[in-house]
Amino acid sequence: MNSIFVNSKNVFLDTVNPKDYVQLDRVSTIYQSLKDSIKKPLKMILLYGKPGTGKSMFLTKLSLDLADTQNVFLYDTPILDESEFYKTLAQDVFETKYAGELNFTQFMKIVKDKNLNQVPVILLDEAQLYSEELMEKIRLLSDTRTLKFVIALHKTEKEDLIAKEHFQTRIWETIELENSLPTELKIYIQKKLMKANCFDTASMFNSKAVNKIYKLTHGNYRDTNKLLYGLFEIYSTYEKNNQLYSIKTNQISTKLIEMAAIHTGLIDA
Amino acid sequence: MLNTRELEKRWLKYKIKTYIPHAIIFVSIIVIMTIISIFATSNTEKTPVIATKTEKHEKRKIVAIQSLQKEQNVSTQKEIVTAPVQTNIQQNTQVQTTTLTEDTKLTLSPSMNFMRRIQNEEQQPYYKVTSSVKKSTKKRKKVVQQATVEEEYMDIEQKSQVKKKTTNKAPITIVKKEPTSKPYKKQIITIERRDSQNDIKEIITRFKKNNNPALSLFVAKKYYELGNYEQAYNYALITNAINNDIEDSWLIFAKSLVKLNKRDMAIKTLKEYIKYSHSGNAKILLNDIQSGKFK
Repeated sequence: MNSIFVNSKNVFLDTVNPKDYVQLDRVSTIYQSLKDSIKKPLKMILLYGKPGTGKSMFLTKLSLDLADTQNVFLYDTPILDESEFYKTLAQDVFETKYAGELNFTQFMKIVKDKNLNQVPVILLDEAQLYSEELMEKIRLLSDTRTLKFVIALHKTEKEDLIAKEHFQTRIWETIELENSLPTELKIYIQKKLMKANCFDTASMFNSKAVNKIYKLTHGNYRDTNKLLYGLFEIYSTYEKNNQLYSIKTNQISTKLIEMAAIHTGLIDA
Repeated sequence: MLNTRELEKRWLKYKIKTYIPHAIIFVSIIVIMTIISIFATSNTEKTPVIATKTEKHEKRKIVAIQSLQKEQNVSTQKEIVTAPVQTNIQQNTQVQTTTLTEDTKLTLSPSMNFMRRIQNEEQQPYYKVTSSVKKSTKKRKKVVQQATVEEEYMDIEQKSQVKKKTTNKAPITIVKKEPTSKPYKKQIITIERRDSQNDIKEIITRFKKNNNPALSLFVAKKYYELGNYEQAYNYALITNAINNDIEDSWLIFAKSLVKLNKRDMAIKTLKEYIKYSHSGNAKILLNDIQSGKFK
């Protein structure tokens, strides 16, 4: 049987699993607004934020939640080749296999020919990796109103430019995801641990420890997961080496948080 | 498995690195505070420090000043006093020379009697300066009583060298009894060695060095006593410029003006000073000048 520290460590493995989705008030509101936006006759929805703010998790959860009621297609890794992109969409959305090269004109013909009862939703993650040319084609596809795109991208200068050039004139919705606040971070950590029945370790996180974590990660979920994974790895090592007597076990040790931050590279020591 | 020892070392390095700026700030604050406090204390204690330094080197000069102040009165009594006292000294030195060995080292420490006396004088009314012969002898007794044991050693040693009677025994207790039992002896010795004009010059040079208003006031008083009213006026004016709260200085200033036939100016000055300080002595002097008692 694994120790509580090993179990807690596994909770913070950096994976995109909708089951691990933690409902926080602010995040839930944003998620609900995204769900509502999909029902609206919008051509495109832009989801953006800094890396590690939960965009991928949002898209994954959205695809899972909408799968029962709507045709949803999630592409979490970008298809950079244009022909491959059209061929994948033709196959997944319109169930049309195409052997040779498929260009934009040919794909547009397929889109117009297939008269679907419901507008399929295509979720594109890491959209900043698509070329500007392909983004322009995606814009033109959304104009036909036969396809609805939800695009998730990092908020950088380049992405701002894309948003400006391609989406500004469209009827669209933008949703920004942000890092958590300290209070949200505490709930996030404790909920995540409690979901995995790690109640003992969840109770070890007092405000002081959470504030320290917040100071190091700035509320970024990915950094927090990484840090806490490292933290519980150190705890489990101490446990194996019978060194737990030297540290407090009723609350998270600040020293170990800092050690985890050094280990994960959040602190440059 | 993690190498926690290595990680702990890195953590320790990191902690030291993070504490360095705090330590620097803390140390620099302490240094700044210390410098500020040193400056603050040195500014407040500047005058007394200089005074004590100079007094260390010029202990004998201070004795001279004391004697100088009494010079007028002493000169009248000089012949009367010297005869019995000198015989006393001879008797005493005979006893003392037997007590002192050649190896006996005398340590001199600064005497603050001069400063104390000046302060005492400042509290006294102006008319005590022109005191009678009887009063001056009383004062002289006080001065002699205040003289330090070290001064006694010096005087006695000088005398003993003349007599050249030396033994190996050294009962110091006998010497210590001297200042109370034979007060007149020491005073005469110091008076004989000093010249009033030279002493005033010495005080003036000291005053030029440290700008101590007590010294300039003394010079002003001395000049006034010697009848050099112009110089008394000048030094009183200088003293007032340095510190305008010294009552004696204002009184000497006004009296010098009267003596220089500038009675109106003296009255005007005193009135201004009274308005400012409400000094009782200044009021008395003003009344005396106005009524013609003081000319």
